[in-house]
Amino acid sequence: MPLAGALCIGVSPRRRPGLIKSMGLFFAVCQLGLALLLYIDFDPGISGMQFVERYAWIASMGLYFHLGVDGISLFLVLLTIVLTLLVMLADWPGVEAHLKEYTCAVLALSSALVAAFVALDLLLFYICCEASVLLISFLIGIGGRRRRIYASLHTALYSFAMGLPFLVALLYLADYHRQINGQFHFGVLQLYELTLPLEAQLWPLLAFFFYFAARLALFPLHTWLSTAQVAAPLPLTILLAGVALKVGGYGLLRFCLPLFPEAFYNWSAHIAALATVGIIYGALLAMVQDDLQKVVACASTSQMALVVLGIAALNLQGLQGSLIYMINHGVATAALLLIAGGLYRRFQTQELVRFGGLSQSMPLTAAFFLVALLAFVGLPGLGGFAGVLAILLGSYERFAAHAVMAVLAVILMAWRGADIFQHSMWGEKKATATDMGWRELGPVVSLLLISLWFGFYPGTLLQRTEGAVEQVLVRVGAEVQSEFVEGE
Amino acid sequence: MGNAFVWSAIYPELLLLGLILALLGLEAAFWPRRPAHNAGYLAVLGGLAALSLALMEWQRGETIWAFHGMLVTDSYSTFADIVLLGNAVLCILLSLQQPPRLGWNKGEFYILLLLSTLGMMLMASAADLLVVFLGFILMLVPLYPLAASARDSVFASEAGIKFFVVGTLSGLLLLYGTGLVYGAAGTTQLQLIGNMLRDAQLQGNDLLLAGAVLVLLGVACQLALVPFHMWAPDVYQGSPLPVTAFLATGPKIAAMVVLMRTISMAFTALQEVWQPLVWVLALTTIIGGNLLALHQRSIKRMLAYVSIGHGGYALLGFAVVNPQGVTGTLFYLCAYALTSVGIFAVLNIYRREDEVTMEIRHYRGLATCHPVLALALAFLMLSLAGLPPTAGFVGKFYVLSAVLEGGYAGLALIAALSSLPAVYCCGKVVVAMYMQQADEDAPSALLAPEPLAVLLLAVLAVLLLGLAPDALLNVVRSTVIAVV
Repeated sequence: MPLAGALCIGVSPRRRPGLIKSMGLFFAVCQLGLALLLYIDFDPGISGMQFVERYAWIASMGLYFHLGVDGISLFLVLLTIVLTLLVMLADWPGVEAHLKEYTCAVLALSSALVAAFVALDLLLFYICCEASVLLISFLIGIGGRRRRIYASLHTALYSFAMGLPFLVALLYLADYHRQINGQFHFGVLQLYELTLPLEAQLWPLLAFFFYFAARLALFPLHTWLSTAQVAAPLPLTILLAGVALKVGGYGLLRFCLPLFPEAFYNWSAHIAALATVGIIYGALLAMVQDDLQKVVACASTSQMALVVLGIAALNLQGLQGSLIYMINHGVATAALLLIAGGLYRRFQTQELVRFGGLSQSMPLTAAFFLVALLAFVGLPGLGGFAGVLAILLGSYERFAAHAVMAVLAVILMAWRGADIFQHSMWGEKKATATDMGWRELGPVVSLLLISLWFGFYPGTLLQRTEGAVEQVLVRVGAEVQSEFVEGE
Repeated sequence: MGNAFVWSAIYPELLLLGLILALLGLEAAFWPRRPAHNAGYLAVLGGLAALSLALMEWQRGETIWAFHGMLVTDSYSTFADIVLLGNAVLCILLSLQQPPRLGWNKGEFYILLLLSTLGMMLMASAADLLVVFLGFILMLVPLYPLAASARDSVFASEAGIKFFVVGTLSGLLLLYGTGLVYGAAGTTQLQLIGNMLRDAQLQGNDLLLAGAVLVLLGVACQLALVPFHMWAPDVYQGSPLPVTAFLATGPKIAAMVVLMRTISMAFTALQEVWQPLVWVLALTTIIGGNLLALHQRSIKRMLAYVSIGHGGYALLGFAVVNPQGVTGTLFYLCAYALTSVGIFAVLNIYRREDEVTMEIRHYRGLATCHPVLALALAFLMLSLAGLPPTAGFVGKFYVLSAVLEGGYAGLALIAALSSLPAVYCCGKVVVAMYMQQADEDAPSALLAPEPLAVLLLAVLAVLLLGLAPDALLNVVRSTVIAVV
């Protein structure tokens, strides 16, 4: 896996555009092949880390190049790689002038994201995260649309501002490890072994939580997402909403929970409340936006808040629901954004008021747009549903009122989805264009098939993620229980 | 306390002195009408020879006290010598290819630069407050004409005069502090003062306290710590580019090195007095320097303010007073020097005739006309902003980890967050290069081999130190033992 990433960065021939394009595609396909191998070799019976690679990097500072895959990261890695391939396949309007930089940056972004998902060293994770943000803002800057430079700097600075406390918290943990074991260490597995006293957990937890919340675009740290989403070049929006947001949810599952179990437990009510506000706020925002890209951004804010709610529930259903929901959200969002991209290419706009009656001239597009929307809002039979259901059931156990409100928001969003479809595809005929061909719809169809598969056989996901999620829970459960025993 | 004349302790310095005298003679007698390149190349060769002598000294690894305890040559001073000489050689290389019109490219230029380096090396091995002062002045005096060497420019005269006034002021502070310390302790030798303080002979002596604080402030002026920073942007702006590169790195390293040696040798016992002062200076410098950089349009002024902030970070490591921190400071200085010299190499290559008015907007569109140059500058800007995978990140990271190890989590947080404006400033340059169209009055590139070699070297070193800093860290760690 890391080899694939390194290879991808290595690609930088500076010659003809056609060559660069096919080189990019070639590496994306190679990456996918390797990922499939990984998927086949992955043993769902083992709940710990697999395919572990470990080299000393800066040994004197306890920094290791330590990678491994488990059930939590497996599908996120696959998602990243599949979506990278789609980005490479998609047409790239507006970036012709910077094709080489663009291709290199997308591949580098993909490997940074993959590396972030498989990093077992906190510092390595941080570096990969920041690198991905840097690349995203670079891509927005060179290939973006409206107000690209503002959006580029906004995105980068927002993330760095949240990242610096995270870095300090991380150093704090490493230093704590040094006090106990005499050596600086950033390895997650080593840090898991630490049991920090409750009062020492709070500040690092806050730093971690806000960092991941910003990555997830959780209310009130969501403003960067719509700025970035509206300005980003079209293919990048897929990676942005589809994968980059998930780094936050992954971080919560992988780092926040196991490292600060008691503090997380104590604070889970507040976190759930924040998440609920985010769910409703995001859904309400999505109701009033009239730009398709912004609708997706706001809805994603709401849906990522749903993920946080599931994690705050602290039970198997909630956590697993969050995880599979993230994956399905990635798939559905990508499908939706691909169609949105197609519309943008035809009309140079994504404002919904400009569309209307499109189904007459673009029947195929309309049909798949409907399916993508349904997948996005989480209708039964499609991938999102299993996740939403699990999250809601899981959170109902602990936070009944929150779950009920979340249900309302989900219904609200489904309504908005139907509304969008009605106004753009049916209704008064305002615009016509040629229908999308199979070249454009092919990726959409394959994504929707994946979504359908996950909808009917969520077992594919559940079976492979269960072990790893259970392990997280065992850690949390054990910690919390021991805390209670001590408390009594 | 050491023998009288141990010449072996100062071989590199002697070689440098010989070189300076030889150059002076050659300039006066044989090369008055020739282009200055001869002197420049000879200076580079001589600098490299001195560097290799210093490396040999480093390998011997002895501690030698010389000249009745006035000088000490140990791994710490030798390490500083190596860094300072390397830096000087790079800056000389930068100044070799200049548009002849500017008129400052004379043989004296290199002689003055070497003389200043000699002063810095003297500071690095000073074990007596008077020698500190001597080195300080020897470092500063040649820098005044260097700063003003673009004689036709008003900005250059402004730079020269301002630097002269501030340099004199800082020298006077240092001298006055030395006088007060002498009045209290009866000696200027660092080790003896330290011993007296430890034996509680001088506890609570206000005169000594005032002297120590004045010494600290004198050096702080040269480090351009906020609130002693006002001179730096003007001087950086008015000086020719290679001189700016030298000013931004050499004196900073030397002042930091001498500060750490002086305080830890003589005034360790007064820790509760100077440590808060150093903390306050470091934090105000980091915050002030980085915030002031935000609104600069001239690239040299922006770099000046960012480098003020960097001085604060370097000081932060020392403020923790543990080996980790001092290691961090030294590593940070190396990383910073390499990054700065690299950036100034790009500035030197891609420039307008009138370098004073060089603004960030002139870098628009660099990525399309000179992609490799743009990539190098973007990478160095990453390092200046302290982002991975560069030496700047490792340095900042190490300093912050030392601060946390000292138990100052809140201060580490403030210091970390204050680097955000620097990220923005460096980001602006990258934005200009990659995301904006070139203006009509874009500068042209002067692709001479020397600055390109410096650039290549700097980029490689920054990358190497960013990916595998362990080698240098171990070296620095073993040097630091001499101080802490």
